Amino acid sequence: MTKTKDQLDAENYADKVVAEMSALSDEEIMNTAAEEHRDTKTEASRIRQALLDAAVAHGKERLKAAQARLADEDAQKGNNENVVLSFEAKRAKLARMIAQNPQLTLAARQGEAMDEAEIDGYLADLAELGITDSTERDDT
Amino acid sequence: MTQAVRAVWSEGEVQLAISELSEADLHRLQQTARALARGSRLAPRELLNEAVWKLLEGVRKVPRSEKFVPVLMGAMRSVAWNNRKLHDNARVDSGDDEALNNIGDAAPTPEDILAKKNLRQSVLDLFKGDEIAQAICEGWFFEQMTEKELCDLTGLDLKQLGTKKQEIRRALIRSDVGAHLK
Repeated sequence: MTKTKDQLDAENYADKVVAEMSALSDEEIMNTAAEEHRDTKTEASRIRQALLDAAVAHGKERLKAAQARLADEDAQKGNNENVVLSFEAKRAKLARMIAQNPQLTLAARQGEAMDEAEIDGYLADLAELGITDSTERDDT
Repeated sequence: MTQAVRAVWSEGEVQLAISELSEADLHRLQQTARALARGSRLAPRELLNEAVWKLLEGVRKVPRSEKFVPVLMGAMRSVAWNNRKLHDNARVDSGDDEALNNIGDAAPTPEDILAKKNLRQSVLDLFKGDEIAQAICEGWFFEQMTEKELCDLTGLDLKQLGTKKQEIRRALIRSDVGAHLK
């Protein structure tokens, strides 16, 4: 994109300002500061505090953004956990859990014969007991 | 990835760097902010704040090995430049019907007035009545003239030119409220 004359002027001006201000000695800088401020030390502290405040404000914004992102992820995870499984998927889930937990003998005996409502009830009971499908945990 | 090429400064690193700045460093940053803010819609303090944010966001890819003051001055330069470019474009785009219909609805703010004035004019206006200072500003800031060329242009010797440049610099970093808008 071609720069306008104003933009070129602004670029040249900014380059020159930075070059000139960088080339000044500390003494020249402090002499100029002393012309404006009775107490250059207090003014320097004020500038330092303003810069620190800007850095802290940025940190707070970043924290807020991170919290919002986490809340978003939690909401999405919640949605995933509430996914409605098909009857076949429920049956497969129960089969996996039986394979992972050989002590579930009743389920092993009755699994094939259970209807969907029975499987739902059984899976809910297992969840209450803290028995979950470990392959789902691995997925997250 | 090595320390030298990591782009983003952490908050801790920036806070440490700020706390280690000398009194002269801090005044140098403030004076640079005032000169750079001229002709932009940002006040010097806003320019400094924005520069710190840019650094923390990693928008500027700056090796960590660089010194903090030049890095922050470079960030301020970039913020001022982008701000000016943004408003230059807004000025070009403002010819739509809605903008035309709204003319006269509200009194122009100092920023609106500034947006209509280019940076060169804003700098030259500071030295109304002082043709030598104006000629130096034109050559020094906008035409990239060497000191010898500036001496030839103004008839000053190098020492006189140095004194005049110092006067100009001090006028540009004046601290009056809203000085950057004049």
